[in-house]
Amino acid sequence: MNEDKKNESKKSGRLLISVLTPIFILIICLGITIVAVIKPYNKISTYLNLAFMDSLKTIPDTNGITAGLNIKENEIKVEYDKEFSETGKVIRPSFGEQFAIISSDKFELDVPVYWGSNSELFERGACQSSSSMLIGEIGNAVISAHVNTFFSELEKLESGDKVEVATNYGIFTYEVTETVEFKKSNKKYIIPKDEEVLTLYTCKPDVLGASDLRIGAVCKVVDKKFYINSEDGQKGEQ
Amino acid sequence: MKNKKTYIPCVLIAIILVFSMLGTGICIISNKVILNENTCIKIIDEKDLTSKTRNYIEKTFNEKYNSTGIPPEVYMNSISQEWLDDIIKNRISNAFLYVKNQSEYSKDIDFDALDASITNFFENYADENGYIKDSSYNDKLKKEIDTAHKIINSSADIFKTDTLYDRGVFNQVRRYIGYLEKLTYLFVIADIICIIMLLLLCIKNIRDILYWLGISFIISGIIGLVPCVYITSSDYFDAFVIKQEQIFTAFTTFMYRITDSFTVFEIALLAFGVLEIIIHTIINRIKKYNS
Repeated sequence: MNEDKKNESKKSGRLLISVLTPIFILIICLGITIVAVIKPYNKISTYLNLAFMDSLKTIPDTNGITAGLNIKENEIKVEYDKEFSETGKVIRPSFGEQFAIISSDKFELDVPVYWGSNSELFERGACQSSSSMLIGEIGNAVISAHVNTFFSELEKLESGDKVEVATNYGIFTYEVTETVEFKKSNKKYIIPKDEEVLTLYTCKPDVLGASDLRIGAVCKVVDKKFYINSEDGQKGEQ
Repeated sequence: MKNKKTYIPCVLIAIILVFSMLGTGICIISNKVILNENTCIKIIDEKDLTSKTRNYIEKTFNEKYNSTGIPPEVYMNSISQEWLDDIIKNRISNAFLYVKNQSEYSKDIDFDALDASITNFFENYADENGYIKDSSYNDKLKKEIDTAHKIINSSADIFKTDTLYDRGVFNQVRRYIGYLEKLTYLFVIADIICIIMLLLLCIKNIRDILYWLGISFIISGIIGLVPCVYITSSDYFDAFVIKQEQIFTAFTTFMYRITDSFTVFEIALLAFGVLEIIIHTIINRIKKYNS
């Protein structure tokens, strides 16, 4: 009887070892793998984070639109009959979002403005560099467009002309203080500034090939009207 | 399992075998998939990357038309599908030859037809509009030709071989590629030695070899499958930042192909391991039934 019990407990002991051994080896191997991988992973993690961004987990489509670029058209109100405030909050648009319209007496057409610079956005309107300050903020707001499309009339601007920028959070009026011409490599007019200015620029029209020269207008702000209720300023559609 | 003296050595050898099998898998996939130019060539043909590249180049020249006034046909008429296909594939073959120490890296592309087309357009334009062909004209022409070369070069470099060469990555790979074959043999020899040692340790109870091999293969399979399953289930490579369609498709397909190959290898290990454990259990049951 005792012999049977002994045999039985030996067998169950062996069975337990048979089951636990793979688990034990798996834990040891996983531990070794983690320890071996942790240092190289730390080394390459920065590169991995740069090369693979979760926010960009989109597969390019075949319609010619850059994947990850979410173009959003907004209907910006250029006339507003409700209350304004002299101060208010700007609304930071997402990359690819239309957030403003530029108009001037010198322009026949109003120009839609998109946040960010991208070839697809340049096809749709003017682009504000996302590294520049937003309209209504202190600093240099830099907007550019193609010379043979949306900024074809930019060279008509002269000192003293008014430029109105209607955004989805307010309407801002600027006055041209200087018309400029500069080389593509000259960053003088597009770098950050302490004063609240708007810089509009495009390529200088050239007869053959792309020009290295840029023409533009530097404007100072003369009137700022923020919407009391910023949601009044736009109606979004993607 | 009955012999307490052999238990610890068997555990240690099983652990070594787990990593040695993993190493074997990595080396085999590196040789057969990563360092095989046919993997890239197949991807180009399967995914029609030459057409995608040509469409991208056309789109770029269309956009450039807004600032240069040069119609895209000036460029596109001299960029045929066959010419572009040759350029893309030659660049890959060239990169693999360089990496394998069989030739020097070359970036030379025959742009004669394209250069002639741009020059022809400039000359016609100048003649029709009375534009003086002075040094500024020549500068503009040269600049336009250089820009066109750059656009085609960067668009056709779908596996970014130029960038990898310029950043010295290929040089590093070239330095260590000779060791890969030796490393593969080393891992295979290690596998064989481990199996022989397990055989010797289990000589008194030979069916236990199936148990030790089985758990080694299963654990090796599990460890190898974990990253593969994570990559595949999370579509990890879809987050690749370069979104130019031809480059994105080339890179992600290549990476998923490596992952899939490794997954297949690890699943095979896992299945083989499970099979061995099943056989081991059946033999044990038969033995128990007989006694």
